[in-house]
This record gives sequence, structure tokens and C-alpha cells, in this order.
Amino acid sequence: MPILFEEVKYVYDPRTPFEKEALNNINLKISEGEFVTILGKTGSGKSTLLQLMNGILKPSSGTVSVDKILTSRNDDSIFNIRRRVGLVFQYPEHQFFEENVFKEIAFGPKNFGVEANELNRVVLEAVEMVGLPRTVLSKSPFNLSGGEKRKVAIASVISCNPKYLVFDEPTSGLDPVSVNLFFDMVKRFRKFGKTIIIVTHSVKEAIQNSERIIVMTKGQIVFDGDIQTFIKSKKLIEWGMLPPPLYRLAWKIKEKVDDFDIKDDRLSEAVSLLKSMIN
Amino acid sequence: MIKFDRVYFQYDNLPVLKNIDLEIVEGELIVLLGLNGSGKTSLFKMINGLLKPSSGKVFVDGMDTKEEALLWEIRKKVGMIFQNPESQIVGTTVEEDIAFGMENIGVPRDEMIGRVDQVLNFVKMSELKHVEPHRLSGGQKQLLCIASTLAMHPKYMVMDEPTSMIDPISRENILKTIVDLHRLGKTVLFSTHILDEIVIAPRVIYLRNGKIVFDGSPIEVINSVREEFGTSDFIEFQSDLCRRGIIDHFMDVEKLSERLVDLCQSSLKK
Repeated sequence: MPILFEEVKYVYDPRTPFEKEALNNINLKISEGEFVTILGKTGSGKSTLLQLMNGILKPSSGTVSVDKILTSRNDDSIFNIRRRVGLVFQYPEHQFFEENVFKEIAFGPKNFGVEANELNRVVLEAVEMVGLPRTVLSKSPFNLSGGEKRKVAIASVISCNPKYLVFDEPTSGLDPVSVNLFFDMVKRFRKFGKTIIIVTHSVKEAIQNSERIIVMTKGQIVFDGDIQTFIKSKKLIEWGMLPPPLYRLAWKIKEKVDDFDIKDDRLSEAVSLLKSMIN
Repeated sequence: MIKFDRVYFQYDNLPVLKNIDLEIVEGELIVLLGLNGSGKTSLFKMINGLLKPSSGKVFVDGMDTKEEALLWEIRKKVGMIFQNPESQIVGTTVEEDIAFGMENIGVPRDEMIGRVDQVLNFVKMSELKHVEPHRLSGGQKQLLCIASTLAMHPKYMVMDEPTSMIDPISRENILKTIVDLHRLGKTVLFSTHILDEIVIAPRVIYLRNGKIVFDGSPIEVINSVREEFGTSDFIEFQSDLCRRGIIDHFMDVEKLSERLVDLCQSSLKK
């Protein structure tokens, strides 16, 4: 059963001077077990799309459903949706408020009605899944390193056992080691059967890690497909995204030099290296 | 010159910087490379006296940052730009924000007006002069911080991870601005944990766990960082070109493509 968007439109501040259409005519299906990356420049509607997934925002028109439950229903079913769709905001560590890591991670499941005797197990499973040692549980979340804070924030969403994990710019501000650790963690989540949806600016991370790429510009989906088709479309710059440097380099050279099979040995070696890297 | 003399710094009894010896000469463009928590921010905060060494000394043009009486002069010379531009913007319009720092250091009004236009032109944001800062994108906010600092005519510009909280296209723009600042004659230091960014600076200082483990050219630093940082295909490609004698230093995409196109075309003519 999927997350399903049908003819979705979203307008901020309707019927006011600040009215702004953020999404228009979105049709989208994300099935269980998928790993989807949503790319797009600032203001393209990515975050609005995410917030519609767990009912933080309701569509202005059209419908969004999670496992056939409509997010626009005004009843208790919203809890059901929020349990299924775990949303990790950008800089989630900015939302810490508990005195220690255990309480921080336990907060969500406690609110979803997990019994006290179960809570310990749930929290331990969550710290294990994000790769943190148990010793961290008694510490204040505010005194951890940047990478650890991000993991605690993710653990506090994982502890609610969501089926769909939705991340908004999860690697923002992280160094390359922490970025790799994050994607290792995502791989573990997949082994546990989670569906992963990541919003990012980073084309490189999208290409390296996900299976399906969705590109948004001006509130619309302009691409939805696999990595190879995405790269070959060569519309990244038109979509307001920056391709990885080696791709840009190769494309720039191709624009000006028709014949890649040149005579100079040293250079042709380098160029074939470049070609093999982009192929 | 900026000089670190056996600088040791601890915070909450934890060593953050360990015996740093460093000299930065006027006109240099330097990148400080390190992972999160390696001590980059602390090292930069030492330069304008926001942090003081637990032992050792930091001098800016011969002035000791521990001397409270000299801090005003030191801070006029050292412009700081932080990771999160939000923390540095105070004006209600772009123009006011740029004027704020100048007012504090007593720049005459007429001159202020001229400098606002100059720096906005420099960061290519002249048309945003009367815009409220909260309406700017993350990248534009960072450029505004650079403009506001530049307007105070500092000799040294110290930028703490100026690209880490913005999107990749804005990042390219900030990197170009850093190169332009250097061309303008400023001594520029910026920190990053993004390996690809080292290509714009001739000198890389690599900080690991509070210690300088490397100080030299980008080509040379690669062997030291691979283990900790992993690799970047762009950097590896350039290393390979250097090994083959095709280029002799790292370049950004623009310059490298020009160089390779030149070589391709001259090779075709043979």
C-alpha cells in the first residue's frame, strides 16, 4: 500500500495578499520498500510535498493518502498516519527539549501509547538502529557532537516504528564522514523494511544512494525515473541544480571539442579517464 | 601577519586546540580543512579575540589578542563571517544591515553611502538594496554578511564554513566571491569540510583533533586526507592529471575545462 498523491494542489495563505501556490497538479505514488530522492532548488515545493505526506499540511485540492487513509480526514486517523510516516526535519537537533537522550527518544512512543515496560526495549532498539552506544542514553542531548545529535534526532523518530521514513535535507551541515555514516544507517533501515524518502539539494548523494529520483521545479514534478535516465536527461542546470563537478567538466569539454579521440598520448589518456568516469 | 605561537586551548577541560604554530602572511588565500569538531571554529575565533588561548599567544599585525585594549584595533582588521548567516544579520533592510557595522566603527555618512553601493555591486546584489533580509535566500544572506563585513574594510577576512548551510548553486557563488575577495587584495581564510572546495586555494591547512597535521598545497594534502575524508572523484581526477604532468595545480571546474579544451584543441591541430 502506497503513499498516494492525486491531483494535489497546495496554496499558502489563500485569499490573502500573500497567496502563493506551492504545488500544482501533483500525481505521485511511492510504494512500500522504495528509496526515493526528491531533488529541486529552494522554493520548488519539496518541503511542502513532505509536509503533506504526514498530514502536517492538508491539500488545498486533490487528495493525499497513506496506506489508503486520507490525510485530510478530521478524526483520529491522523495519529495512524503520523505513526506510519516519520518525518525528520532539517536540523532536527534544534528541536531537542528533554534532559537526557533516553527521554528524548522515548517521548514519541510514549505519546503514541507505548507502555512503560515496553519503552526501554523500544528506545534500545532505536539507538542500536542508528548506531549509537547505549552509554549515550544518560547524557544530555545538548552536549553531544553534531553527528551524534543528528543520530539521536533520527532515533527519536525511528522509535515510533514508522513504515515510511521521510528526511528533509538530512546531510545539511554534516562532514563527509558523517554523511557516509548517515547513508550506512539508511541502508540498515532498508534492511528493516523501511521505505525511504529523502529531500536534498545534493545531486551527488541522490545518484550515489537512491533508486528513484523525482525532480521538482515551481511546484511541479518535472522528472520521475531512475538514475541513468536522470543523468542522461542533462537538464540538471535547467532544473536549477548543480551536477557533480566531474560531470560539469565533461559536459563543458564536450561542448567545445567534438573529437575526443585526440592524438596527444598524455591528454587522450586523461580524456578517456574522464569519459570512463562519466559513463 | 597573523601568528599563532604555541597556542593551546581547552574548553570544559577538553583540549580543543593543541600547540598550534601558524603564520599567515598578507595577501594569502587559505583554506582550513577539517571534519566537524576538529577545532576549525575555535581556531578562527582566536584570530579576532572571541576566544583567548589557554596558553600561548595569537598576534594580529603584532598585536596580542589577549590585550583587551587592543581588541578594537584587532577587530577592525579582522572581519569574521560565520556559518549561519542568520546569526549575523541585524538590519531591517539589506542597506541598513551593511551600514550597521560601518556606523559602529565611525565611518562618515557620505562615505557609508558610497561603500554600501560598492560592496553590493561586488556581491552582485545591487538590486536587493532595499529588500528585507528575511526575504533573501540562504546564499544571498551569506553574501550579505560578506558585503557587510567587506564594507568595514578589514584587512583579513575570516570565514567559518561559509558554504556549509547553503545549496550547491549558492555554494559555487560564495566560492567565486571568495576568489574575488582575494583578487581585491584581501587576505582570506575560510574553513570547510567539503574536499572539493580546496581547489580554489593555493594553501591548505588540515586540522585533525585540534592539531595541524598538514600545511601545504592542495595537491600535497590529498594523501593525508584520504584516510579520514575518503575521496572525491573530482580531486582524484585532478591528482591523476598532475601525476601525468598535464596540469601543475588544482583548479575549479571552469578553469580546468578551459585548460583541457586548450590542450585538446592544440593537440588536434598537430
